[in-house]
Amino acid sequence: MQGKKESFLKDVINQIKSKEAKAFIEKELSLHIKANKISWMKKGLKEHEAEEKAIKQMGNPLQLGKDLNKLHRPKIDWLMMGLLLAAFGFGFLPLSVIDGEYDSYPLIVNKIIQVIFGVGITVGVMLLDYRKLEKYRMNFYKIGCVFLLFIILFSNTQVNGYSYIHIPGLFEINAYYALPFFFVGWAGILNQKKLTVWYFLKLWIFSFLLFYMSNQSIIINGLYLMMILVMLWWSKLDKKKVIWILSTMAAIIVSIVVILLSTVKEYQLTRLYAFLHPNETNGGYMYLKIKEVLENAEWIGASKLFVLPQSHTDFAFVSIVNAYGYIAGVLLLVVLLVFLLRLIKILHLVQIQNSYGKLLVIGGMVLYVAPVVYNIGMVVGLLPIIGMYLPFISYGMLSIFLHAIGIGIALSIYRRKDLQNKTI
Amino acid sequence: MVEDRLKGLKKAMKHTVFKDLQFQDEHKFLIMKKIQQERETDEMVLLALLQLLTSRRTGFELTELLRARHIQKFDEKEGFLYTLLHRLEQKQYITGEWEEVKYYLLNDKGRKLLQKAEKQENRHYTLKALLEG
Repeated sequence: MQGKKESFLKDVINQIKSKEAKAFIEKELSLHIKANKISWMKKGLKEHEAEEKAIKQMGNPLQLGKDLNKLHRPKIDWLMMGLLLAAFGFGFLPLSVIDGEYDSYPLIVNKIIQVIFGVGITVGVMLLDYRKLEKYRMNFYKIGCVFLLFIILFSNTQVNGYSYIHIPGLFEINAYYALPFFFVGWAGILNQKKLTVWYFLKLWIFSFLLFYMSNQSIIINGLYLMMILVMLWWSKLDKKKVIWILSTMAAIIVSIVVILLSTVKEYQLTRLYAFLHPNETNGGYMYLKIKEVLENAEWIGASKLFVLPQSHTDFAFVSIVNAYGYIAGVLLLVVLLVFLLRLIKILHLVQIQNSYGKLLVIGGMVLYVAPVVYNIGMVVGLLPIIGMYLPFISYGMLSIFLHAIGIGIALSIYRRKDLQNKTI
Repeated sequence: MVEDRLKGLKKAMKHTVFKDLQFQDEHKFLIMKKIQQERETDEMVLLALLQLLTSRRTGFELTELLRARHIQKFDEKEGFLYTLLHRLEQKQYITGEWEEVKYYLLNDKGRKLLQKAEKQENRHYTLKALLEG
């Protein structure tokens, strides 16, 4: 009679796909049968009768298995997937109206490759179990460092004064490829309760030096710093430790800023002046041009087409409004906003049960929100123009890798939201 | 006339169609149960379950306690109590904890739901979403 219980459990379990769910459901149901069996034996039934009765009282194992599977199967966040594709779709709009300096056909082909690459990375990361990444935190940190080291050693191109490794015919590498590794690594490092102030500072300063030596743009440095600061604040580290860390970091950063200001290049001051007084200088040209475009756009359809530099990269938003009207611009903003709301939703789902997942979502949110806010802020004239892209929409491979990993991790968390992470 | 013929039919069926079918106690039991089960609405069951979960319980304890309250929804299908428990856990109304056996307990969000549901008037609205999820 021993086999009856096993075959009941097997019938249930066979309907369930998730490995983790199988294990704890089998245990829970088995314990229920056992308890019920004991209760029947106390009422006077023989052991095998009691067990048979207990199994019968559980109900139909196939139906039970099916119902439980529905609850515990991994889930795909189709809304997020749809938003991702919509955002990528918007990225094609500036390409088809490009004129002058570029030919649109090869750009479209490249963008298709970028989208396939981005979606591939996103889905690949989604299928990974994010919880398993935590134990490799130092490896991820080291991979980030190695990337920077490679740029220091092998950089062969400079764009706008910043270093890249250019691999002919393929692509360019800069610190954008290191950022996602630092992101996953730091989430794990900051999730360790026993992390000491000194150890944190050591890791941060070392990576900071590598960033400095690899001659990366202030944007990448800023993103890296902001990501760490926000994750640090939301980590479960002792607030006392956090304050110690923050004050030391502040001291270091302030002294660096002072040094930088004393060596500030003239063109940088010119740029800042152009932002403050666009009418009076040559540098103000872009501010005035963008203003003109945004003020003269139609609600639907193209207004007089302006030729904007970087119309498919940093100024993708302006060129979409210019060529397709305000409605298209508003739709784009809605997609970007719903993206953020979705990330907040996923944060709510994960924050109770998994502190590592929480830090990942928060870090990913910073990496996503900062460029969006800055890019939109600068095109509407609230912030000085710098080389800040619009995630997913601006043309270019570099940022896609970073954001594909960020969104992939959010999807991985969503996928496992209903799986139990408590050990049995 | 018609009634006579119907009587005849009934008699005839007793000897033919229903000859092999005997209305056993078990059938009677199942039919009674079914009627009873349909009478209790799902909302009542859920309300009772939430009330029981104000203390820490295992699934088995819950089946016994529900039965003591004359709720028969999970009779002969006790396993299905776990689908409901797991759903409540996923929606973060209750917290499950393993120590040898898995224990369930209402958390803050669940307690709020229970308070709302106990105020008779909008119970239907409050619990409906949970049952359909």
